[in-house]
Amino acid sequence: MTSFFEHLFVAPLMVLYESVYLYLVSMTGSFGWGLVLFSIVLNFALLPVYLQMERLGRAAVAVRAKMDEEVKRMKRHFRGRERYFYVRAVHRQFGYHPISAVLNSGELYLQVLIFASVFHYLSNVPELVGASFIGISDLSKPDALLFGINVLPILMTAANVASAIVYGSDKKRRRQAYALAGLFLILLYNSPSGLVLYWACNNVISLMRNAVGRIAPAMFPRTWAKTVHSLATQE
Amino acid sequence: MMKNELRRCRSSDNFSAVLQRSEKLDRRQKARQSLALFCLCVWLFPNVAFAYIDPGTGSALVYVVTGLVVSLYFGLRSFYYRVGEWVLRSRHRVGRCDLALHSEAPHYEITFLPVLRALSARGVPATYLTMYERGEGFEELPAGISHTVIPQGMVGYALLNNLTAVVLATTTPQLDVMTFRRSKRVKHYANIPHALGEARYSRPYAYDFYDSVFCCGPILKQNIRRMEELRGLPAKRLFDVGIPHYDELLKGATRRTGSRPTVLIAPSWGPLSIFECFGTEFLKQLLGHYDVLVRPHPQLQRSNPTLYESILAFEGIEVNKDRTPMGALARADILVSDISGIVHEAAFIFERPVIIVDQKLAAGGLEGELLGGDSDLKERCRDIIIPFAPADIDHLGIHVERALAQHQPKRIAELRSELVYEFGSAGPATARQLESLLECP
Repeated sequence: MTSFFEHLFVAPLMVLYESVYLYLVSMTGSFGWGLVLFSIVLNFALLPVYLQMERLGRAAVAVRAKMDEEVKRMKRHFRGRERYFYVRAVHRQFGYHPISAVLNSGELYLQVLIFASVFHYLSNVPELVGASFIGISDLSKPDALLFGINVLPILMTAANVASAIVYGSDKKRRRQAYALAGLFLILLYNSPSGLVLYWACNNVISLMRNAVGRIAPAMFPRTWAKTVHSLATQE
Repeated sequence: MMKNELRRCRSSDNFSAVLQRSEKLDRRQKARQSLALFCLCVWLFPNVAFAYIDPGTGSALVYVVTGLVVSLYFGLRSFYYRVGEWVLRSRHRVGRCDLALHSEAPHYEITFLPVLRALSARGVPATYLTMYERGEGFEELPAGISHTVIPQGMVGYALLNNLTAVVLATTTPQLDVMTFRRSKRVKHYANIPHALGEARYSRPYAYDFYDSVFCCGPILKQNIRRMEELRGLPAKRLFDVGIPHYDELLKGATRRTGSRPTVLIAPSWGPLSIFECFGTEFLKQLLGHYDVLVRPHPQLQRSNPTLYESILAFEGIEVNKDRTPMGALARADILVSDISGIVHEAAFIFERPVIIVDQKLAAGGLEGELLGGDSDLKERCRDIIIPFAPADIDHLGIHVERALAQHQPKRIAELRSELVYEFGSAGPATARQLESLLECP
C-alpha cells in the first residue's frame, strides 16, 4: 500500500526535483550552488502558499487569542465535568472546533508534502558523493569545517533563532520557535552537508522573508497589503 | 478558618498576585505541552517534521498537532456522554405535547402554579413535567394540565433532550451547555427565572442558548442584551412578564405581629453567606432586644453540615425550616441577609425593611465577571435593602435598630414599579406569552 502511494505521489515529485536540480547544477557548474539555487527556486514557488498560510494563521491566532482567554477563565474557576462543558461552550461561541485546525490547513499540508519530499530526495542524491563546495570537501558527509565541528547546522540554527526574533513579539511563540530550532540542530547535526546546506539556505530565505514582512508593512503599508493579497490569492 | 477566608476575600492585591502567578504557570505549562506534542510528532512522523523550516511553519505544525490531539480528547469524551445519554434515554419516553413546563425541584412549584392556573383559565392545555412526585401536600393541578413525573438528574435530562413539543418552558438555566441539551423535536425553548435577579450571578451561558427569556425586570433584560453583545450572539426574544411566584407570595403577605419586633435571619449558602463568613456568634447581640427567627438555607445542610447543626443547636433563637419562606417572612419585622434572593421578596412583597452584609461577590467564572462592576440591583435598591460592611457585623444590632426606624414603604413601591414587571399579575402575563409562542414558536 505504502509503495503504491509512493509511486503515485512521491515518485513524480522526485523526478521533478531531479530535473530542476540537475538543470540548476548545469547552469552553475556546481552541485553546491545548485543546492542554493534549488532552495531559492523552491521557496519562491511556494511563496503564495506560504503567504496564504500566514494570512489564515494570523487570523486564526487572533480569534484563538480571544477564545483562549475565555477558556483560561473557565479553567481558572471550574473543574472536571463542568469545566469540560464550559470549554465546549466557549468553542461554540467562537465557532471553533478543534478538528478545524486539522481540516483547514491545506496550505500547510502542501508545504509539508513539498519540504518532506525534498528532504527525502536530497538524502539520496548520488551526485553529491565526493562533490565539494567552498570549504566542504564532500557534500554527502557532515561538513566538519571547524576542527571537526559541523558549522552548517550551527549557521542554520543561528538563522532560525534570528528568524524567530524577527518573526514576532509573542513570547510564547518565540520560545516555541527557539525550542524547535534547538531540536532541529540536534536532528540535523550529523546529516550530509548538502542537505544541511539546502536547509540553511531555506532558513536564511525565511529570515529574509520575515525581516521584509516586519519592516515593509510599516514603511509601505498600502503597497505591502496589495502585494501580499495578490500573491496569496494567486493560484 | 472562617476569618482567614474573610481576610483572603478582602485582600484583593494578594488575589491578583496569585492570579498572575497561576497565569504564568499556565503559560509555561502550555508551552511545554506544545513542545512535547511537536516532539511526539517528530518521533512518529520524522519526514513530516522535517517540513519545519521557520517559526511560521513550526507554529502552524504545532497548531495542527494540538488540534488533532484536542479533537481526539473532545471526541472521546463527547462519545462517552452520548453513549450514556443514549442508554438512559432508551429506557424512558414521554409522549408528544404542545406546551411543556418543566420543574426541576419542589421549590419551583411556586413559580409554575400561577402560570398553570392562568393557562388553564385561558383554555391552553399543557403538560407539567416534574422531576419529583407530587404527593400529598401539593396543590391539585388545574383542569387541562396533565402531569408526568420524570426521573431526576441525568436520566431525566436524557429524556428531556429527546422530548417532542412545540414549546418547553423551564426554570433550569444553561440549556445546551451541560447535560440539558436541545431536542430536535422541540421548536422553542423558554426560560422562566424563579427570582428577581440579574444575569451576573448566573453560571456561564445561563440564558444564551434559549430562544426566549421571560424577564422579571429591566436589569435582567439589560444584562442579557449585554451578554449577547459580548458573545456576538443573535438577539433572543425577551418578554416583560415579571416573576410568577411573586403572585403567589403576595397572597400570603399578611402581617402577623408578636410582642417584640422579630428579626428574620435568612442568608444564602456558600462562602459569602453570613453564617459561613461569621459563624453564629453575631446572633447573640440581637437576642436581648428582638425575637430572632433563623431560616438556614436548605443547601447549607449539604454543603456545611457542621455549621448547619450548630445553627439548629443555638440557644434562644427559633429555626424555621418550612418549604417556602412565606410564613417566616410574614412574621418578620425586618430581614437580615446577604446575597440571597429572599431580600427582594421581603422588600417588595412583604414591604419589610431589609439589611444585608455588603458582600461583593467575586464573580469567579460567573457572568458578572464579563459584565463588570457590582450588582445593579443592589445599587438601585440601596435605600430599601440597606447594605452594611462585613467588618461591621459586631454592630448588627445598631443597624437593625436604624433600619426599623427609617423604614420607607413609599420608596419600596416606587422601586418596585421600576424594577419588577407585571407585579402581582406575572402568572397571567407569562401564560399569555406562552400561548402566543404556541401559535408562533
